[in-house]
This record gives sequence, structure tokens and C-alpha cells, in this order.
Amino acid sequence: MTGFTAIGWIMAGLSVAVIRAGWGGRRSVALAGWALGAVALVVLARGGGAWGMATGLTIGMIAALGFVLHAAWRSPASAPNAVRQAAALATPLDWGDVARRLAVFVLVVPVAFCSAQWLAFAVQALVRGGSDLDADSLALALFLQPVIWTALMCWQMTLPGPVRMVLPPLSAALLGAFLWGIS
Amino acid sequence: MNQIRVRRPSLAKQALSGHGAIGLLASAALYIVALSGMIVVVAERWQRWEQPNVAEYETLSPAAVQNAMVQALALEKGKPRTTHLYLRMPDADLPRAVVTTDHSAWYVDAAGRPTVREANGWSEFLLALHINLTLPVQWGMLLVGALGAVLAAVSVTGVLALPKIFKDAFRLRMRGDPQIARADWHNRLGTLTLPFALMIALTGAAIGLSSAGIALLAQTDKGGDREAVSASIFGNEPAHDPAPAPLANAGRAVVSVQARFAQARPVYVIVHDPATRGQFVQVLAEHPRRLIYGESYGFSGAGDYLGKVGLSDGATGRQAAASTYGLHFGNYAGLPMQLAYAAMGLALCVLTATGTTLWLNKRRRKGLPTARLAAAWNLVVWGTPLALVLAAWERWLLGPDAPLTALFWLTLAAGLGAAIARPSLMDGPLMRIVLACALAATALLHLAIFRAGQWPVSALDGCLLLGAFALWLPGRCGRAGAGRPSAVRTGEPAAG
Repeated sequence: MTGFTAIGWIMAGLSVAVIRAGWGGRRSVALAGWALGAVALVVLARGGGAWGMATGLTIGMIAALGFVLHAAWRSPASAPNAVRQAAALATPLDWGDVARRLAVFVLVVPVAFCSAQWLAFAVQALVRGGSDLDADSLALALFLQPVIWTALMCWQMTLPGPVRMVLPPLSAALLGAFLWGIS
Repeated sequence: MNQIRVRRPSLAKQALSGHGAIGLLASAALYIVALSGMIVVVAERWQRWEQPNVAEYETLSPAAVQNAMVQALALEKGKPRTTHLYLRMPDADLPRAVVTTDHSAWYVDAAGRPTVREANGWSEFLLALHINLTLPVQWGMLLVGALGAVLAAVSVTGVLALPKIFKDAFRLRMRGDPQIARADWHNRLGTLTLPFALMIALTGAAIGLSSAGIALLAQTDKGGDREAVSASIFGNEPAHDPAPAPLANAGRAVVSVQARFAQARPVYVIVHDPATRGQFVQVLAEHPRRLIYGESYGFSGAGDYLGKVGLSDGATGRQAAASTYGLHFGNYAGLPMQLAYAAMGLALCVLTATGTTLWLNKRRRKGLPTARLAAAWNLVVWGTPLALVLAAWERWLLGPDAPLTALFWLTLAAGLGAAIARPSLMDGPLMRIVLACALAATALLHLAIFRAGQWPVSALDGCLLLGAFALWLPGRCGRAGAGRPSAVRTGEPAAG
């Protein structure tokens, strides 16, 4: 069991080395590295379950950090670019801009938070049907909330203005209402 | 008449704008939480560093466990009745047992006799800074949980903003133009630690925001009783019976766990409502090679086994919830894992620091007034660790009960005032050198005063000296290079 895990750890570290070797070079080498990493995770999952996978991923990330620090150390010195600096501007306070930023904050933080909470609550209600609250449905609600909120924030922040940013939380709220209705 | 068609910005451009907006919204708080998180990965070791020269040992016998409980309760005479007695068992991270009541905490010797008061005000302050930003616990945890969701969103929008970010994953131009170096540090660390950032952010958000979900479910399902909701995962306590009774047999409970569950290692022994007829013993035991923080075994006051909660082998939701803590705090695979978490935590600090600095420099290039903002950001980046070092000094000068929280925030507030009034005071490279000197002085003074015999304590002094050297190094390299632009004097960590 321990030997199995140790092999997985070695493979996880090696996979990053192989990916690095193929990066910017032969694509097949990088793909082989990714494949080795996937096999390492399977080996670790078999040997140590979620614990094994977590340790393997950490080893992979630390190995990757090591490679990038090595790249930093060996990077050639170059002359710094000239500092481009425009003349200082005195910008008057734009109240419209302040209001827009405030609206974005309200939509992305409290509004998106509440709609994520509502959708997570509705999903757990749907999953458990009419039965009593149990560990699975509670854990589902607690884990889903930040995931949905993150997704809503990402969606909102790729939209051009506060008006369009209403759509993601509104969609989540409507979906939550639908799921709540059929639960 | 020609019609001018306004093109909608691309997804990447919108994502970049969103990435910056979300990041700026919370950058200072995120930096403080990331920095304190990086430090408290080894919180128990800092506790030893803060209070060295306490007797250390690896094991505590069940008889000593019982003795510690009895003696701790005896020390409580004249105080309101304690509702809980906790005994933290010694382990590799903190090889000293601590017995805690509602009013005080004591280190005990190997025989279970209380010896020295637990005086870890500084380590506790660091934990509070990370967990709840020293705010009232429930609100503070909600805020920090929200920061977790923000960090996750920043990580995802960062990837969306730079579709080619993976192409240059192993390229880092450290020498040369500082702005390029900063961007490279930001993008490379962001790419390579993406799984870690997402994992830390989402587990932190789940922990911090759980009180909101629990409150909602308590209203809909349990008549407002939040403890009843939490009990679905973490188990519940038996009914209270305040009638007096002899103190529970906690030693027997420990023996029972050791005999029944050979792999489990008791880490906490807790007596709920001690010395009452309703008392109940809980032994929290770690299971090796698991992400869960432990399994909770329950015992009656007489030490009879009642059953376990099922965190180790119960419903998936229980196991997942119990694993969240281990995954977030990185305490599931010993010191090597903790060091890996600290390294990636440092990467997260650099990521936050460089992100805002890049934005400030962009702003400066546009000719927008930036001096005060840049000075305030320098204060956050360099002043926060400096204020943490000052807090350690204050703890030694004023004692373990010094109001470190107030002193820390006052220090930062005064620094912020100075940054706004005189931006030139907050010179990044200068502050970095001041921090390096403070770290070195702290380590050397600690070594000289305490002469700690325990190598893990001295190793932390070594880490501080290493940190001081790492901070001093970029200044030396910078001096060696010619023609370095002087307009950019932000000097975020290791930016070269």
C-alpha cells in the first residue's frame, strides 16, 4: 500500500518533468507527461483515495514551481524598457462612474451571493425530496453555494455593464425557483 | 453617412477587466488573509516558538489524561462552572499537552500536572487574523468566506483573460524590465498554483460561508435551531443534566479508543458539562492517510463507548465536510505537506501583491494620480508583515495578554495615514529592507534570549533569517543592474 503510494508520488513528480521537457518542443512529449500525470493520480487514488490524490497534486504543483523558479534563475538579463509615463491628469470626480461601480458591487456581491444561496438551497431541496435534512444534503448545500457564487461572479465580470450583470443572478434565482417548485 | 459600428470587447478583454475589478475590490484583505494563512500553516510550531522552554514529550498516558482533567477542574475553584474541559494530546507539531477550560489553559507535564499557563497570544492573534480578520467570529468568517469566493473568481477570470497563459507556463523573465518581471511572476504563479488557489479558495469559502447556509436551513427545517442543523454532519450532544456527579472517566475513554481503533490517534479529549450527571466524553482521533480532520468517538461519563459520528466512514457528506478542513489547512500529511502549503501560500501573496502593483503601474502610465494609492499599497504589502513582527515584540514586551489586535490595526491605520499624507515615506524597496532587518533582529534576539533547546523552534528562527536574506537579495541584485527605472519603486516580494 505504502509502496504503491510512493510510486504514485514519483510518477506525479516525473510527469511534470516530462511535461516541462515537451513544453514548447515536441508536443507528443508533453502529452506523454500529461498521460503519466493522469496515471499517477489513478495509482494514488487506488493507493490512498482522496488523500493520495491530494498529495500527488501537491507534489506536481511544487515540482512545477521548482521548474519555473529555475527558469527565473536562468533568465537572461535584458535592458529595462524606458518608463512610459503620461503627464499627470487631474480627473474630476465622475458621479456617474461612482454610481456604476456601486451598482456593480451590489450586483456582484450581495445580490449574486443571495441568488447563489437560493439556488444551492433549491438544489439540496430537490435532491433530498421530502425527507429529513441529512448530512449529504446539508454538505451539498454548503459546498454548492460558493461554487455557484464564484460562477456567477465570473459570468458577471465578463459582461460589459451593470444592466447586463443583472442576468446571471436573475437566471440563478429563476432556476432556483423552478427547482424549488418541482422538489 | 458612414455608420460607426462599436465592436463589443472580446471575452478575454472583458475577463481581464473583470479580473482587475474583482481583484482590486478585495486585494488588501486577500493579501492579509493569504499572508496570515501562509504563516499559520505551522501554527502549533509558532506556538512553541512563542513560548519555548516548556517541557515536551510525545505521548500522554490515559492516567495522565485523567489527572490533567481533575487538576484543571481543581484550578477552577471560585470561578463560574466551566461548560467544557478540553485536553489537547501531544503530537509532533506540538509535543506538549494542553488542558483548557472556559477560563484558562495550562500546559501539563507527562504526569498530567498543570505546569505553565498557555500564553500564546501572538499565535492566537495570527489564527484570528486568518480565520475572521479579528472581527466577531461569525461576521468575520462570513467576510473571509466571501474573500474565498472572490479569490476563486479572480483565479478563473485570470485564466479567461489570458488564453495564452498556459503557453508560457514555464517562462519567467526575472531580470530586465521590472514590469515584465512582475507580469511574468503574476501569470506564472497564477497558472502553476491554479489548482491550489481554487482548492484553498473554495474550501475556505465553504467553511466561512457555512453559517449562512446553516442559518437558512435552520429556519426552514429546524425551527431556527442551528445546532440541530450542524448535528446532521458533526453529531449532537446528549441532553444536559446539571445534577453534580464525579468527573467523567476520560482516561478510560482514551484506553477504549486505543483498544478498539488501533489506527486512530487521539488528538483531543473533551468533557462536555464536566462533573454533572449529563456529562459526555468525546475523543477526537486522527486517522492516518485521510483528509478528514478526525473521527469523533463518544463515551458516557463512566467511559462506556456510545458510538462514533461517522466522519471517517459515514455518509459521503460527513466525510466530505470533515475533509474540507484538512484540505484547507494542509495538515493531512505532516511537515512536508505543511511546507508545501506555506510555499504555495507565499506564491499566493506574491500573486496578490504583483496583481495590484501591475494595475497601479498601468494607472500611472495613463497619467492618472497614483502616488497615494501606490504608497497605501506598499504599506499593505510590506507594512502588514512588519506589523505582525511588531506584534510579536509587543507580546514579549507587554506580556501574553497584550491587546495585539488593537495594536496591529492601529499600526496599519497610522501607516495608512502616513502613506496618504506623505506618500514618499512608503518607499517599497526601503520598506522591504526594514522588514528584512526586523525579521533578522527578531530571529537573533529570539535565539539569544530563549536559547531554545528544541530544534523545531530554532528552525523557525532559521526560516526568519532566510526570509530576511531573501528580502535583502533583490536589493543587491537591483544595485548590480544598471539603468533600472526609478519611477517604479514598489518592490513587491521577490520581483527582482
